[in-house]
Amino acid sequence: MLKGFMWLMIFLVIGNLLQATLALPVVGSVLGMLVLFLVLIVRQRSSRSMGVAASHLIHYFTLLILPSAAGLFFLGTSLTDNWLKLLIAIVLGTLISSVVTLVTMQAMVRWQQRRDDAAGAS
Amino acid sequence: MNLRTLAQEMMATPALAIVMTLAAYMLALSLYRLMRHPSWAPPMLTGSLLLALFIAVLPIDYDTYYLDAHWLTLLLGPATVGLAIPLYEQFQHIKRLLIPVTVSLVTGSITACAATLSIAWALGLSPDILASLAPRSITTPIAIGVSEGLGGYPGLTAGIVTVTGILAASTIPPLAIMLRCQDPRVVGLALGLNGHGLGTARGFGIDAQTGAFASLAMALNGALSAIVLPLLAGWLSQ
Repeated sequence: MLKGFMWLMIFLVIGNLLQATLALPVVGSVLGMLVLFLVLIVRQRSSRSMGVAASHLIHYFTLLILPSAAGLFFLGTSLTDNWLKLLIAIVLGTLISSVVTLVTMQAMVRWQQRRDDAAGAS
Repeated sequence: MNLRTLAQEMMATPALAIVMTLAAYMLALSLYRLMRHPSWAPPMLTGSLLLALFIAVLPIDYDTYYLDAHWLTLLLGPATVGLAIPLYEQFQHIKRLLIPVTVSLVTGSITACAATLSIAWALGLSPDILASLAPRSITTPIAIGVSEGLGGYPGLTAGIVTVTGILAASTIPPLAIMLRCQDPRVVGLALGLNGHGLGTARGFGIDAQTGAFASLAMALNGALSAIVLPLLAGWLSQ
């Protein structure tokens, strides 16, 4: 647990350093995640110790996010004047992207099926 | 000791902020169990409502609270880095369906962001709100990171992500019946891509394969958006 936690912190430090040196518009933790993901792909093996630490932390994600999430209720006028427009954008956006994803994946799964059938028949 | 010095004493350490957060979280979890896991009221929503209520009632303002709660939010860093582990494990499962998953993921990911942003822009919403909206359909910790990087409000993003998740989890299963695409791989991918963790939970409620594809889509969409959204925003602002 502690060993995995230390490694996660090391990748967080790497992410923060990358963010600072390259001035990227992404926070260090997300960059650290991407770097760790690449490292795992290159070495073609997951990490037991980091897996244990990560699953403990991920289990408490909701708790860790609550302080930021409560900020929604203290945003002031910038939000209260716009909440209806915001809701329209969220509802329409979700409906459009849900339909697009369903239709695309359905078509792609059928395409793959035909390709597999053709490969099996030849 | 009078009441005022007692209140000041309580505020002098971050302990009160931690207790408030833990209490709101555990109360929200109990409520969630008591109501038999309603998909329209995830612990994130009830928890943040309860926490906001505590902050409003107690002699503490949000900014002070947020500074004190740093003891907890600091752990969000290693937790977000740790998402690479399930992401890598999910990545192993897509080899057979690599092309369908990649094409659908890229199409869906771009639509989720572009459709919302163009509607919001047409309605005249300001750039800081657009930045908070852009990572709408990705998992909350990554979404907060992306929003912060783009100049949005993390609190607003957390709220938007939760509402999106509730909407996607409740509308995708009926939409799939209407559109006649009830293949578990299709429904799962749509749930995870559009509804992140809440959609994935709904997917596991349908069956194991739907859930597996949902968590795959959630993980890949999070990674993809974390790379693409900031690049896109940089390109648009030029």
